[in-house]
Amino acid sequence: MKLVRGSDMLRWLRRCGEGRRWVVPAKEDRHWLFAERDGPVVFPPDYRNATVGPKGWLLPRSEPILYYRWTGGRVSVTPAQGWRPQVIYGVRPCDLKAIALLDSIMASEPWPETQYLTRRAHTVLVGMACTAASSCCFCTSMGVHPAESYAADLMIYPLQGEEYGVAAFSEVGREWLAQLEGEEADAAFSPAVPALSLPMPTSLEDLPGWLERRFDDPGWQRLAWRCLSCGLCAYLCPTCYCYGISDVDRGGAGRRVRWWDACTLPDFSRMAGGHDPRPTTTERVRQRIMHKLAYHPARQGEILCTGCGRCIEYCPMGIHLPAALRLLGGDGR
Amino acid sequence: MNPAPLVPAVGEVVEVRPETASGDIKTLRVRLPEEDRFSFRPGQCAMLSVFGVGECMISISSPPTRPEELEFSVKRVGRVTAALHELEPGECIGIRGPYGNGFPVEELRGKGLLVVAGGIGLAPLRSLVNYVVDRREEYGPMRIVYGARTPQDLCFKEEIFRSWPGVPQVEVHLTVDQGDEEWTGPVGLVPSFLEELAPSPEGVVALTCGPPIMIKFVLEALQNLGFDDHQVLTTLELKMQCGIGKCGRCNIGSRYVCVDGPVFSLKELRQMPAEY
Repeated sequence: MKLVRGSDMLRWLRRCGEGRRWVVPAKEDRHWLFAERDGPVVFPPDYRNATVGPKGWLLPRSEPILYYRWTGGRVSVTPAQGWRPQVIYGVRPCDLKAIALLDSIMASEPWPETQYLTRRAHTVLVGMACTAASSCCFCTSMGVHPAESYAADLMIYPLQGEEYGVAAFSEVGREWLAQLEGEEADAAFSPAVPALSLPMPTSLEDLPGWLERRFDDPGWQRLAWRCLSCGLCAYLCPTCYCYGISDVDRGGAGRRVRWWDACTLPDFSRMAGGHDPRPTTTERVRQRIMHKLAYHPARQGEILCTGCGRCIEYCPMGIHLPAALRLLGGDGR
Repeated sequence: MNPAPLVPAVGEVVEVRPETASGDIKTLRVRLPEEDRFSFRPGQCAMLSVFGVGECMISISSPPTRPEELEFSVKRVGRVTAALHELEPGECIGIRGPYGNGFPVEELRGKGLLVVAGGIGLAPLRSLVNYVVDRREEYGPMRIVYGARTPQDLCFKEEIFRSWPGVPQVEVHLTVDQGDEEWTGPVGLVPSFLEELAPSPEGVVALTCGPPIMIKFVLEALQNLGFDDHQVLTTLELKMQCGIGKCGRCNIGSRYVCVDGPVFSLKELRQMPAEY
């Protein structure tokens, strides 16, 4: 770890990231989100994490897959090239872990998702360890640590006052760090303690089985009564990645786009002809929670929740993982 | 590694053949440029697209033993399938794939095959049937049990009435829910017809596809006939958009139909939540 003053750190980062797009936490009205700016910034003391995390800069809310054009009865197809070299700065460990999860999903065989992976390969991730918890975060309950680097190339640890520690966790991170003038030291960093410690009904390892045994639990329906099917949880969740594909035609030419979809929205799994294996909110709410806590662990060995707390903080109806676990008998039932 | 797995190749429609009198099912014969051709297994699918309308997942109904052209049998149920039906010979079609696991043709070698299908459900199995026809000596006797609502709704008439019954060790048994003036064959639903035929499960693997309700009762019938769960394979269909296990749509529990399926044994199916 190198120790450096804040202003020197920003100058160094800006120099290393020259020619790249800077994506940093920015405040728009009441909400923080990740936006394109001139360069890295110092966070105000009350900053915890962005309402909208950095996910959209790797898996955009909507992006072209290809462009097509009809000429004389023939069609020509051009794959989209949707990436620019970028630095995403100030990413919290919960979101860094989420990116690591997205990486493993998008890289999974037999069909790695090259558009995501290419954009990812041109991204430098600068993480920022947490010194204070937001009101709803629960990362450690999900086995995520508020000072861990996960997918980060570089990690920044706010120390005393103007002092920061910086450490590298990848080749590009080490290249950048080599250009930083700073004292090499082992500074003690005391990370935030998450606001919430969830009362888990079982160990994380046993959670998939615990949930699968509750597949027909009436608790799902009680959750569904409250769910507005707005999709907000999926949009804000750093690990939700489900997408839809459709054509945007402008008469003779157009593009095929991929866009954020959500398993909690009606019609998500409805087939042409009308059959829908998840026809009501009950099945859809269950799908979302089960995907995160049971199906994905069965598939790729990891829980698809990093405890960022956004679903707790922003779901207007208070439907979130802890609520689900409670309704399904988390109180010792 | 495919540089862009969601970008289809562009093929040319060679023939569009109506399968049913009402025209609700058509078979598209398609030719891909040589550099875009792929090898596949019976039971695998491909994503077809009409640029400007969209994509849909369709099983490949021709066998890999006849690789020059691909056939897709499409029932008109929505926007994209309607656009596919309107394609004419010479027109362009987007194709990407192949997707899914397909039938385990190596494991099936030497075994007897019982093919049970309803309506358009014969399409994925037709690929397997013609594969076995082309490599007849590698497989045991094949019995095909096929039904549709009416005689007019039976697909692949040339094959089910003429070419398949003439192949050694191939039997074709047809039934319809409702006959007409010309129909002299059996009338009745596929599951009960199957129980009447009472095929022996000895050394046989049953493969079934059709409307969900038919599959449900065929599975019961097979159980009554003494077929073990591992002797029964079915091929499923769910909403799919990516085909590559990433869009999060076609899962049944932790399994994705597009990469882990669409072919599942009854044994596997029993371990999955009944959400399909």
